[in-house]
Amino acid sequence: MRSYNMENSTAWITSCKLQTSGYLVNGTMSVPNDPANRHCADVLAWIAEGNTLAPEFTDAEIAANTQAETNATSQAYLDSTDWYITRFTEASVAVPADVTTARAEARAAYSPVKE
Amino acid sequence: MSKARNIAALSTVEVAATTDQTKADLNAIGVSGGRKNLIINGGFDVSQRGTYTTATSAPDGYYLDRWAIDVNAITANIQQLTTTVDGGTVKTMKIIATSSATGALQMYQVVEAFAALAGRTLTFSARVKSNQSSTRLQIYDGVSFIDDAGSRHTGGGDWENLSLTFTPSSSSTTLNPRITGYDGLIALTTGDYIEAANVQLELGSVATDFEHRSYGEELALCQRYYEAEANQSAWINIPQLLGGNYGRTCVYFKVEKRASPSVTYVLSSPSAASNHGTQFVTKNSFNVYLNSMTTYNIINSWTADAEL
Repeated sequence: MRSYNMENSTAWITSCKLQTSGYLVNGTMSVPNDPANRHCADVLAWIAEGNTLAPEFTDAEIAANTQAETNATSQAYLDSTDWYITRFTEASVAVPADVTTARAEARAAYSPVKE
Repeated sequence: MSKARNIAALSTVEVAATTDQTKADLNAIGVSGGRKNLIINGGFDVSQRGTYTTATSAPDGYYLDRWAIDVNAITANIQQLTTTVDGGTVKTMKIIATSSATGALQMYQVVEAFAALAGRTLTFSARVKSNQSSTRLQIYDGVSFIDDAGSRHTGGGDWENLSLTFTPSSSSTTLNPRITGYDGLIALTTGDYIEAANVQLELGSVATDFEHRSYGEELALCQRYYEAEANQSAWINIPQLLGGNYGRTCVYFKVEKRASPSVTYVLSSPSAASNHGTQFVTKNSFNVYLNSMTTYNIINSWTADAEL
């Protein structure tokens, strides 16, 4: 926002991190890397004041994202093979060994581990 | 719109300017035809960011479309009112000081296409009500502040017609018509207010009648600078060829933006902030990505801000 003399202001920025398409400001606003955007102009002024951009992902976020993707993949595999378990319960048809192995691996990869 | 219709709409002041009006006469006194108002939302009808029918705390920022509020050293409220001015029902915007200090209280609009107006005579006019004798219409052109005696309010608390005729120079770096209590910084007291209606900026040296535009037309003009959707509007899908659990959706704007906008959005099932974000933000659309999807998700609401 501008002060009474219409200069750029950076006071409204409390946090700023890099994002694929520009900057994520205050945790909720995606600001494009376009100088014609007034928020981008404020971010550039904020950087010029000596403030430091946070990286797009911290080490903890990279680890969390990797685990989240592993969880999603594992969950999808378990969901897609649940019918083998149902068939075994209802019709006593054995679950193929490779499916049993893969389901165990999926549960182990899940965090927290699905017992 | 025919010229005959324009002439019929002239105010008595303009009609008296010449007995035999021709197109040259009209140009000489600076009377413009349709689409004459360079101010957007000068009637204060459009308010996409929220409803301010009750007084709402207003730090620096945008509230009613296209209008910025600027306070300095004080706090203030904003309110959108429906009131009677000159026998007609109009919408107004009112800003009220809620603390006392030496500071500033003002509303302004940044005109986008100011460069084309350099060297041309313009008139800025508004109906203004205020209890502050420093209140005035003013132009900031990036170089200096312009106002004159005719643009100043008495501070008597009544509606007054204010106008200001000026000529932007080629060295102007912006054009900000403002309704302000600014004369340097001034002593402001709790309860000081500025209320405005029918704000207009037009070519020529005469303040003509306010140009009314339909709500839909005004909304579309505003959406070049800001657009919001308060309802659920887009499922996040997992594109088959993208693989994995990577969700994506594209949101298209109703109106092309002035520049790539700043975007906010709210998901129906909140996810870790590092798991989602925007991609391909353009003047016409933006994408939201959401990784590691394990359940459905919807864009519950979004905003796109390309204000000046």
